[in-house]
Amino acid sequence: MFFRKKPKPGEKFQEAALEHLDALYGTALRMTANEAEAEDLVQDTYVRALRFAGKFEEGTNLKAWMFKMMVNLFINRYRRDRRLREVREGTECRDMVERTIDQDKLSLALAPEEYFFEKLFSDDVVRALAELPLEFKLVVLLVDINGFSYARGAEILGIPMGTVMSRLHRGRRLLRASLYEFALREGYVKEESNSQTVQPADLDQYRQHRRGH
Amino acid sequence: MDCRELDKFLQVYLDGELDPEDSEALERHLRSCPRCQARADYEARFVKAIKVRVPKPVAPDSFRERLAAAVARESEPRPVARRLMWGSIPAAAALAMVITFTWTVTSGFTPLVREAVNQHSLAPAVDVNASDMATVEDWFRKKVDFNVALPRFRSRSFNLVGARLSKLAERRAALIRYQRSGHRFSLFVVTDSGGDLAGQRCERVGSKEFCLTEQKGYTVAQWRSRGLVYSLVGDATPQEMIEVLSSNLSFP
Repeated sequence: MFFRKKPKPGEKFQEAALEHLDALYGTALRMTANEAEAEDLVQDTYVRALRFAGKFEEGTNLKAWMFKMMVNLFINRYRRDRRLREVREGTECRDMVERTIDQDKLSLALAPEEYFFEKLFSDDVVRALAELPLEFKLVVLLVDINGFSYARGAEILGIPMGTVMSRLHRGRRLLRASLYEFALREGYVKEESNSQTVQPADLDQYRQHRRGH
Repeated sequence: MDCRELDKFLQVYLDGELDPEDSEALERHLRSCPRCQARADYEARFVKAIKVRVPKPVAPDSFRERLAAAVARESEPRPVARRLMWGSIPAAAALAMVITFTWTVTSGFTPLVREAVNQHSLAPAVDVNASDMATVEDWFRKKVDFNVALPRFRSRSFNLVGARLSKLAERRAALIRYQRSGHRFSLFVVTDSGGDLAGQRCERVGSKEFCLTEQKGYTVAQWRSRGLVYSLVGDATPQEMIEVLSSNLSFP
């Protein structure tokens, strides 16, 4: 007669790892902004995870472990590709960052009443997120979109928790700035709302404005 | 806490990462300072707006299936030669390994069984919901280049749920989903490429031979009929599988 085999540890691991497929795929899609690349990245992550399954310590967070593996694969690939691209085209991303930072000041001068971001559509936000510089984008994806804690984010990215906090803060502000710029362009908000004469909204705004100059 | 300090801690507070003591101090300040309260609302609403606007896509079924195949390849046993080189394994154990190995891979249908199990465990959604055989058979008519004739199950507890197209070992397959007392069963139908069926053991029920494989906690029963190979995967013991199959009126 048959004897019923217990599943091997590797199989249990495989099953548990597959539970995080959607979260990994969704994040890969945001990182690569390309379905085929996202699929490749996730597949490579799983193959690698299985190969190193023995190194995973039971009882620790499998989801974070998988994310760490994926982020590392992505960063290595991204660096390699970017080096190639820079050699080929001599492009600099610095311009974009500088420009966004200028916009950042602008958005800080906004009256808090202006909830312009609530008028935006998903596509607008996805696009702005895609344009964020990588180090900010990763933190926003992990903490805001995937709900990881600062500590898990630090573990996944291999950086100190304080760095996670500052990148998250900065990332959100950059995101807000680029969304604001977009909202202005699309006419969701009017330029006047940015002037000093708005609202009794005040001292805080004035301070921020002053700090901005 | 004053406005300047609040500025430093607000994000951390809103992210729920500030310790209780500091949170309390910050909340006290918020209650006494409408401007900071407005700012806190603003920041909170911004983060919330981002969260709700960034969609969380799910992996497409086609990718799920490809991934399952890649994962299965990765967890395949190493070649025999490699195993035999392990000097530390006693000869008898090594021999046993070879036997198990040849036993499970001599059939050309083994990769198909493995992929069938993976697909079954990933439970892709069905493309057509139907509880009657005619609808399902008809649905496949223009989608696969073979006649998907379904087995007729006598048992009332074995219910047809739906069907979808699938791919097993690079071959087009019909996937039919059944339900039996809360458990899913997947029946995969492909054209018969000949050779031995895959199974750790074969049993005869009536005039049919069923080859049974246990894998990942599932049982697969494989049989052939009129130029097609059927693989039924389910969360059942081999005995239960045989019971299900013997409740069959007629096999296509």
